Amino acid sequence: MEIYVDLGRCICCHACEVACEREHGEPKISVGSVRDRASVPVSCHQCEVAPCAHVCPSGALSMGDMVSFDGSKCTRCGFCLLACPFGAIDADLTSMIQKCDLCPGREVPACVLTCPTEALIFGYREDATRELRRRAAKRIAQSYAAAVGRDRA
Amino acid sequence: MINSELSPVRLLVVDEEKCIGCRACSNLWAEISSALTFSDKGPQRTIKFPRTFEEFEARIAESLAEACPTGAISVALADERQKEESFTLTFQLVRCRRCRTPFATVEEVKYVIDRLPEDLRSQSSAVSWMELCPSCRRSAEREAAARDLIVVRSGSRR
Repeated sequence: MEIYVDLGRCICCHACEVACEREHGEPKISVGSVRDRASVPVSCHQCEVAPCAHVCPSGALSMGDMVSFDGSKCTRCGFCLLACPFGAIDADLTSMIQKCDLCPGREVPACVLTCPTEALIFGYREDATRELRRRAAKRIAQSYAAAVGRDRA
Repeated sequence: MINSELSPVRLLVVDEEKCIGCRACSNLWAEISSALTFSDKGPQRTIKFPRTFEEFEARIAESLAEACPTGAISVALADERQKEESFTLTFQLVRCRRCRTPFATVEEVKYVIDRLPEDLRSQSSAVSWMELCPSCRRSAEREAAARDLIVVRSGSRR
């Protein structure tokens, strides 16, 4: 399971960050705008072959259905931070590693639940692509219907 | 009562060849963090270790050695205090290709690349992200993800 993003819907409102911070004390997702034309939330991709878990010397990070983090084993060496290709691991190394844990106590992560435009989608890859395809089809249908409406008027 | 003249002194020994300048030892516990001085200045990282640490419990000393990912730290016993109170190791830092901020030691980067998944390492271009600092990687990830969307949105404004 992973958090997928429908980029066209993200409005850079930072609600996901706030929701995450309320849940965990620190935000583990971050949104930023790109050239004022788009915005992209970035959090842990839960890689199947995770560089962070490969370099973790203490076994605090491990791969499974997701990339899990066990804070009690962490030495805060910072290798996971260096290994992550997406810069998705945050750390003030004097406190603790911050990495998305998909909100284990919840059915749906807080950020996904909060996102006002439903830009965040939680599920397996197939679920997410099905939803994205459904949305794309709807957009096409709507613009077609609008075009037909204009012709009739 | 313990006779202080007879009780052995614990010496911190760090193998300079093995130490890669990561933060595992200095971040482990508050007691240790305050005893080790860790600083990044310009393109150089220095870590100042205390030589003698009789004030630490044996358990902490062992954990320190255990936490070191490269096995560079060990604890030796000596009969008397050493003259030097501390010793310092220095490391060159790698600068981010994009923002030029120093972000990790040369040895840390090498250590991490050597331990990345096999199929990533086998393609020479595949670990190019290692030249960027974590915050620039995030920006690069954003830009790559938004590229198509920006083209579409720029077009519709014409």
